Amino acid sequence: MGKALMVVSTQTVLSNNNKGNFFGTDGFITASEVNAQASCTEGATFSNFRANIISGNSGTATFQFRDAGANGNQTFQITGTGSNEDAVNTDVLTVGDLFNFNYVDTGTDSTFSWAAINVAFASGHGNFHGPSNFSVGPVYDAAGETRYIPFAGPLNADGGTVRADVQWKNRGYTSIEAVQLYVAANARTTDVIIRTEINGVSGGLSATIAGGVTGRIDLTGTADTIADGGLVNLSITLGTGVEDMNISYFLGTFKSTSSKSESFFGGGTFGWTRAASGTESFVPPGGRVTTATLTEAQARIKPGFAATVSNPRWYIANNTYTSDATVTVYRNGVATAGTFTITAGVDNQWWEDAVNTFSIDTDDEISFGITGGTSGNLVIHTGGLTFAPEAAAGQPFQKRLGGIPGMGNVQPGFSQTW
Amino acid sequence: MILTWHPDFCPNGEHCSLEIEPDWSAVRRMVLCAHHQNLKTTLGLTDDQVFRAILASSRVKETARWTVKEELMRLGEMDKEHPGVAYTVEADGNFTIQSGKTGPSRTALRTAVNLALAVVEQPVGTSTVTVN
Repeated sequence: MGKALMVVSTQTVLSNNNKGNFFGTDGFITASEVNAQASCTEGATFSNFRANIISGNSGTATFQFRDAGANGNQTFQITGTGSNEDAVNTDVLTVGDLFNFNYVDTGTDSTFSWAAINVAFASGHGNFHGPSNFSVGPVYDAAGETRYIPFAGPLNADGGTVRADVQWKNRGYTSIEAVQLYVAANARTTDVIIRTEINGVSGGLSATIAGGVTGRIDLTGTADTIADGGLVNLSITLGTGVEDMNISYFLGTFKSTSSKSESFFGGGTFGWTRAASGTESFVPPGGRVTTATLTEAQARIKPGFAATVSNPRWYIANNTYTSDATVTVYRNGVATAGTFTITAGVDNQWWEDAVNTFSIDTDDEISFGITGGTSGNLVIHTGGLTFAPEAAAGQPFQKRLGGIPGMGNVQPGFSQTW
Repeated sequence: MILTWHPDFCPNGEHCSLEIEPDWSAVRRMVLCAHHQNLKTTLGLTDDQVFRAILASSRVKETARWTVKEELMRLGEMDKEHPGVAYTVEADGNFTIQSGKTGPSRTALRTAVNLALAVVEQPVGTSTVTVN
């Protein structure tokens, strides 16, 4: 029942009257809110809606949480560039309520680095994860083929051909409780099959979508068990025929019996190609990452709850770097103990810091940085980290400062407020 | 596993919710929008007949949209990755495809759509398609 973090990030433009949601994305929609509405499959409280505009917005931008097609309680404005948050209001949704956000502006469009919100399930602990392109969505028409879809980042046409490029390595969740998708257009005359996959094997959340069907499809009533280290993704299998099917988003409901949650970005089926550079690149720990032009300050996001952060990890598909690269998690702009090295030239591998952890409080902000490589390119498909409940107040002083194994280095400037 | 379909083309901003068999052969339970509830009541339809009508309605709409898209692709005015032509749902449940064409071009599209719909199961009740 604690908070988890949902992030939508993209360096594309938010235009007046755009609608979106808190995951993905490759684009927003103006015409129809239905494309962006997702079902709250668990009773939940949404709080601390926040966003960061990095350019444009010559007037005032208003962000509005939407609950079942009407304005919710959370709203805030940003004038010019910068970040803001509704730290006062919350929106409490019951099972089946639809949620999304609306954006309006009075001047030029906004380029924003991220929007985020906290979600706390009424029963148990978990989060929603999914890829999206709310502007009707890409076309799926790979007749007779099975393609693979991630649980984060953009939705790309047809899905990916390499399962490993879309898998997320789970550390914190113990089940996938539901999957939903929005079919914006469907001219197909044969069935389409959507499946969860756990370690490459079809899960229990699998369903046929009949030809010609549009609207939201919910898969519930059974749960996929996922273990620490399990690799999760979705797949889509099309029958014969060249007709188009457009999907705006997929969204999975993940839960954890140990009250953990995760935040991870997705590069889609094509990934984020980073040219080697001694200048550090910064990305947020969620949403869509297909390029990296943000400063560290623009990339950092406040998770919004106290936690022990662990297992920062990235999946690298292609690696022509001629020297090693270093990935670091930053807290409030300062490097933490969460860091790992990507060995030059090693393809198709997960890279992870499975040893070090660090603590965050409700106001700390985190980001990822990567530097190095000398020459060549790295294709990064996903990256993220795991949040675990913080030790309760009253614990020995030294426990928070690294006096037990696995807590890593003491961070300079870390303050103890007991 | 429970499969629930929420069609996005019910008129007047309402939405049906249909829990259906995994093979789409029948409906298990449903919550209908005012339009489809009225259809069920007026015509004395069973739950499965209403489900078939809604499914057929979706297929009529999507066949029309695809036909228009195919024609626009043939004319070089739309590529295959385009999300497709927009449509509106009228208050009576009928559909209007927004082709953006006028005159003979629109007439040709209407002819193509009618031809395509001739082999598609027609729903009980409304769901005619107009190309504008």
